[in-house]
Amino acid sequence: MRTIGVIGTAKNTGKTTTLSFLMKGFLNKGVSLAVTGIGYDGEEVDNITLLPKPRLYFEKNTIVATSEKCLKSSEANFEIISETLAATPLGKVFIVRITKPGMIVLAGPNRMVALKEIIDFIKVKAGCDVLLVDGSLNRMSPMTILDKLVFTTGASRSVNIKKLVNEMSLIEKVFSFPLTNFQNIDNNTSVIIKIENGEIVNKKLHLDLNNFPAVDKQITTDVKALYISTLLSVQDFNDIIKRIKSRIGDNKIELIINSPVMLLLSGDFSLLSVMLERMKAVGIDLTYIQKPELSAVTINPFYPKLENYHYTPSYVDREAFENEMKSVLTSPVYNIKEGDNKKFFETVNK
Amino acid sequence: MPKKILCVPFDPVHDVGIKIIRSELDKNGHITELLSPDLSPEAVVKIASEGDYDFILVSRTLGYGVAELLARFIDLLDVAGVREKSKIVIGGKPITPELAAELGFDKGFGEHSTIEEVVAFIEGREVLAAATGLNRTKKDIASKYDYVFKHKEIGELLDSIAGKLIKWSEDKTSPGVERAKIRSEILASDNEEKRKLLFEKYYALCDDVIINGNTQKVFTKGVREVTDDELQNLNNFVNGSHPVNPVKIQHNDGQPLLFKFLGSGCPLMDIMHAKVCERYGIDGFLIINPSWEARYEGLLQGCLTHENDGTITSYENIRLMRQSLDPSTLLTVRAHRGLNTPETVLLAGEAGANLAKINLVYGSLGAGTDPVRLAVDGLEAIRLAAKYNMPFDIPGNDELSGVPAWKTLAGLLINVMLGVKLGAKPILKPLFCYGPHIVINGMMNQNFIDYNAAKILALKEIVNSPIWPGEPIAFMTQSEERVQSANANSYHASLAASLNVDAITVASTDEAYSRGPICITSRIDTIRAITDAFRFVGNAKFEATKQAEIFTEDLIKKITDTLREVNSKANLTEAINGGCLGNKEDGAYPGTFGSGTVRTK
Repeated sequence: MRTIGVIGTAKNTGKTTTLSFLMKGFLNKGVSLAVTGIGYDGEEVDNITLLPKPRLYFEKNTIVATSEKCLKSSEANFEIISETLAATPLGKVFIVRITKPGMIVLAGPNRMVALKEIIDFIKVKAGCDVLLVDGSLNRMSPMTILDKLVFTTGASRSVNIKKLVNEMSLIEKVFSFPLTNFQNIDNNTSVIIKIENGEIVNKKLHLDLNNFPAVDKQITTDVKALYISTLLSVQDFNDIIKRIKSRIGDNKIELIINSPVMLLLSGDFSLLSVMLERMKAVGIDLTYIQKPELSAVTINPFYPKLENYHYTPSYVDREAFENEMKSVLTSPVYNIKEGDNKKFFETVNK
Repeated sequence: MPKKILCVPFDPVHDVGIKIIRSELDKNGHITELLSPDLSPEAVVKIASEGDYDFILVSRTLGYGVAELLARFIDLLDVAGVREKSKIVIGGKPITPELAAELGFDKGFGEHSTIEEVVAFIEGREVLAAATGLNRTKKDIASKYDYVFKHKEIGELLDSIAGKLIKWSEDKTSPGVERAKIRSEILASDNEEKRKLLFEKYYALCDDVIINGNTQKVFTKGVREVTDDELQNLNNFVNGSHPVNPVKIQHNDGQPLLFKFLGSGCPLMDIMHAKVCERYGIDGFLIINPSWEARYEGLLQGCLTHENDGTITSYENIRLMRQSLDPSTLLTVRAHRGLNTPETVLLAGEAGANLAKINLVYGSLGAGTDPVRLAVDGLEAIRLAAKYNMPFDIPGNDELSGVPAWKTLAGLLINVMLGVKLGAKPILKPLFCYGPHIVINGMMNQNFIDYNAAKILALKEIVNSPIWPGEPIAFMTQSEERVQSANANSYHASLAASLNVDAITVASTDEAYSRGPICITSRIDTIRAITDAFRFVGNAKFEATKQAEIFTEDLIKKITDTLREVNSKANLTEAINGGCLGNKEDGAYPGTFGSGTVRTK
């Protein structure tokens, strides 16, 4: 089963529109489809801005994983396939098959481990070809375990087009680092990887971020790679870079972290950008244990404008936004509502 | 087993909620730790990942952009592995389960959550069962009063006035009195043949409009029967919904009960409004009938809706409203306006209403019924109220026509004495508003407190009777602006509470400006404003100035003078027709409906 997620850089960047489009595309191709979401989406009006939102319509036979209360208020008919262990503030998550088409609000597993459990449930109980996962707000951590991602960005994140382009360019860069070739890494324990007598050896790295001299001693010139399992801030990364450099000199070393999300959550994007440049300059190759492929970027010129204590729908310059994005990014960029939608679907379905 | 809980106030100012919850969790033996409100999300995640917390409680108010901040915080906790060992909970006024789900939290508590719900969630148990329904008992407004007249002369004058009227009426009857008797027999009879004959007798005393409506279902414009589907839907609504976290308006037992009007024309809309108001703690309702209903001899029957002001007070409508309300909610039915006063009280009593609204004087002056007719009908209505053990409330709304307060109060007191003599329990309802006579004569130039207070103080010095200012309070002080209107109501209500009255009638904030049916949100406006005002005043008081004492003394003197004048007449009807309780100059005109219909038995 292929798993594809839609992540937003902010609320109202077009996640639901993108997801709806992908749902239609896969159904038209006769692909058996499952859909879930990591938050709460499909509501008639935005929980915060009170502006109307696009809603999710599910066709017959689609598999849906959502919470109990959403099912109770659903206008679609469904049969329950399985109750899962995951729960949200709206009750337990159930896997259902749609028997009569209609609207359903999605509120699925909201954390990484729970999403993994749901994916396994769907694989075993429903056997679908594709699982689409709707994001929520700017959240991304559960999406780490998926195969592919579509990023949505738009004026709701910022009305400064330049800023949006730079941010997306950085996200693209973060996703460009490769997976590590080293195997057998337990992703709960930080390790030093050495080659001793031609064999790869993992030694536990005692990583005390308050006591870097203790870390220093463990990094010797024969170290090939470091795997850091914990979440680091940009400042932590900078410290580690400095210390690695002082220990390995001109040798190259691989720094392995769990996923691109660890970087995207590490702090301010401008600092992150500088840190990545520094890492490259000192000869540290960044790799991941797992990462989804960044498949495409969709853009949304809409934003809720706050005027007289009410939000009103507004737009940035559509053409300028699209052109700037396309000129800077290597990933394909689409304005779903107004652009070449067919190509977008083909890109994601590759 | 005690739980380990990390309390995170993500807001430097709005952190009282989490402190209250923490204190409650501590009391329940849990181990809590409160972070300072100035930590970054990263710093909180570090603390959370290093400690073994069962729960992380986050409190935060929301604005645009905060959702993303919280979502990032949740992501940080997720990748740091905290979510596998700790449940992450958010609390804050705007938090709903939907918003908590969107943000990715495991649970959310908002404005309507109780501390018990939070503690129950932490302890992994069901919320301790709150009592279903409103969980209150029906209040008795009148039982603690003995109706002793402390003002001797006034007591004697009233005794004489009431005695003369009752004696005068002994050999008299009216179509209204006779219909009530027939209707009583109809309601008591199971025999179809007998009922048919009784109805024939009844219709012989009715106007054609009423006969056509009841026999041929040809109604006046805007009136139709409620359909079975509508009744079924109402039934489903009333039986299927229960008040969530019902509110109590009074902060202490000494504060007055709150009544609201129902009279949208549609009994179903009235009931929908009433059920919402009940959840907000309203204590009772007054059914207000259409003005045309008062002008016809006879009453329409059946569940009827009316596409205009005033809800038809048929037996079926009153019964439907009574049955739909919580048993603790009081219901009073306006009876004194027009030609059906005794029958309306009879139907109210039979349908289970708790009170009836009767004022022989106001009904004859401001509401258009012939004084002689209403005297005969009104006395019978008071007897029926006594029979059904329904206290009767006596509104002083003739003051709104421009009648001076002392004449209105004298009228109320006459009704009290009539009630006492006929074995009923009267309730005084002086106006609590900026009435025309007051406006013109400047009695409220200094403040709105002194003159309103003086009316209550004067009545309390005269008689030991329940007092229920209305009708509604704050009349003529409200504007089209809802906040102003709600405030005006809350000030008047606080003054009423300060004067230890028993109940008040409260309008909605759009009462004078709705240009159609009153909307439910406007009803809630005044209830909420008053609930807050009662909490604010508590057992403290709004204080009148020395001027109130002068007004009180003046009112008692003028009430006495008025009653002397009334007593100088042959009976009350002559006094009303002679202008003793309000004359043309005051804006009061004796009514003409039912003129010439009283006959000797």
